[in-house]
Amino acid sequence: MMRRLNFTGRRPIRREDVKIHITEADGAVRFDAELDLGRYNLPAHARVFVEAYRQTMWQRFDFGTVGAPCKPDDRVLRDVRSPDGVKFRVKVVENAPAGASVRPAKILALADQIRPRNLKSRTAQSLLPVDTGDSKDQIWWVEFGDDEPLLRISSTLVSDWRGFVTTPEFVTLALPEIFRSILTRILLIEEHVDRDDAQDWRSRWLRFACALPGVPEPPADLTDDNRGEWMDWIHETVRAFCRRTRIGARLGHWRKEEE
Amino acid sequence: MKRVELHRLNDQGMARMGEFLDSLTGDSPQQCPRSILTDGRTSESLPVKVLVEEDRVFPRRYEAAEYLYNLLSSSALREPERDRGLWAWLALLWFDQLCPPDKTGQRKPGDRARWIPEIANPRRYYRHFLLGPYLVYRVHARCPDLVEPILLSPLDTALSEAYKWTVESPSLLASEAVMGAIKRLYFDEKTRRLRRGSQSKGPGSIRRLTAVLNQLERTFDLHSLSVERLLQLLPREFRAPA
Repeated sequence: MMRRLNFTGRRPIRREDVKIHITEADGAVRFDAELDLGRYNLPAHARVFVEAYRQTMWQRFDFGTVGAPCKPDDRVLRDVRSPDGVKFRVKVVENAPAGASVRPAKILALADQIRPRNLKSRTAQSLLPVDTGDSKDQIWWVEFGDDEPLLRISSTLVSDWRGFVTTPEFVTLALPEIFRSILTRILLIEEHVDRDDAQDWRSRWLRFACALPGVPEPPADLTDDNRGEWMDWIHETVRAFCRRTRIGARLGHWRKEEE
Repeated sequence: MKRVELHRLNDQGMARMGEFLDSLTGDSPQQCPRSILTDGRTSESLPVKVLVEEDRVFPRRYEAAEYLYNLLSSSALREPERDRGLWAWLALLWFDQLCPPDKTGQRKPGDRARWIPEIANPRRYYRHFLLGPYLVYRVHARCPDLVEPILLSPLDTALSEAYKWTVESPSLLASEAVMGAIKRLYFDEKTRRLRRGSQSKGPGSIRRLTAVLNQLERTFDLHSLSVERLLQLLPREFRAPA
C-alpha cells in the first residue's frame, strides 16, 4: 500500500468540519463559512484564514483566531461573477511573534480543495466536474491530473455538452465505466486505499463508493497478492452503483422510446 | 489604427477554427478563415460593444496582457475570463502574430489549448496565448511591474518555467513577496530582461527557486512575509545582486 508521509506536522481538517456556502446577488458572489475546529486541539491564538481561488484568482479572508473566531463583514469574491470552479482552502496558522530573525508563521492545520455549496441551486457540487475538450475522434474521456478527475466531452462532436451528460444513453452506457475507471485508477494504479483524508479526492471517491448500498467491505489492505480481490471489489461496487442509479430501468425506458 | 468590434466564436466557429488549425499541420494548409470572426453563423455579438485594435502588435506577453486588461476591465463584460469563444476569437484575430510562418513558410500552431482555452482545467487554461498573460497581469494590475519578469517573452514563443510555475500556484502568484523576490533575484532593470543563467537548471535558478518555495509553502505561511524577509529565508544559492 502506498502511504503518504506528512513531515510538516500540519493537521488535516476534516471536510465535515468546514461548511462553505455561496450566494449570488446583484452580480456579486459572496460566501459564508462555518468552521468547527474544536476537535483539533489547536492553540487559541492561532489565526484562521479562508482562501478562495480559481485560475489565477486568489483571495484571503481573515476569520480571527481559533479562540476568538470572527467573520469579516466583506466576504464578496472580487473579480468573480459566477461561482463555477471556485474552491476554498481553510488554513490555521500559528500566531508567530514579530521580528526579523523569527521564522515565518507555521501552518498548523489545513483543509484544501473545498467546493462550496451554492445556496441558489441547493445542491452540492458533483464529485466529477465536467468540461469540454478538443477531440474530433473521441466523444468523452476522463482526465486525471494531480487534482480530481475531470470528465471531458468533445466540443467538436457534441454541441450541448451539459445536456449530453444527462441523457439516458450517456448515463446508462458511459457512467458505470467512468466510475470503474476512476476506482481502478485510485486503487490499482495509484494504490490509494485511505478513506480518511477528506482533502484527498481519492479518499472522497472511496467514501462515496463504500457508502453505496450493498457494497461489500473492501479488503483490509492492498498488496501484490490481493490485487484480484480488489478487482472483484471494484466490480461489485460498480454493480452496486448501477443498482442505485437504476441503470437497467433507465436503459429499458430509452430503448422502449426508440422502438 | 483599425478597430473592430469584439465578438465571441460560437461552437460552430470554434469547430471551424479547429479544422483550420488542424489543416496547418497537414498536407493542404488552409487560409486563415477570418470571415468566421464576423459571420453570424460562427460568431456572436457580446452584450456590450468593445472595440479591439486589429493591427495592434505586441512585442511581449506583457504588452498583450496590459492591453487586454485595460480593454476588458473597462468594459462591462461579465467574467470575460470564463468565455472560451471570446478568447478563441481574439486568438484568431491576431493569428498572424501568434503563429508567424517559419523560414520554410510553415506555421506551427501547437496545442489546441493555445488557441481555444480549456477554462476549467487548472493545468491547461493558462496555455492560451492571450488568456494566460491577461490573468497573470490582472492579479497585480495595481502594481503590474511585479509580473513583468514572467511575461517577458514574445507571444509566439514557448511558455517560460517561471510563468508556468507561478500560474499553477495562484497563492504564490498572488504573493507580493514571492513576485517581488523573483523580480529582485532575476530581473535586470536596465535591460528589462532576465539575468543570464536565470532559466538554467543550476543552483540559484528560477527552477530551483520554485522547488524551494513549493517546499516552504507546505510548512509556512508565506503571505505574512515581506520581500526582504523572504529573501533572508532562502538558501545561500539565492542572493539578490547588489
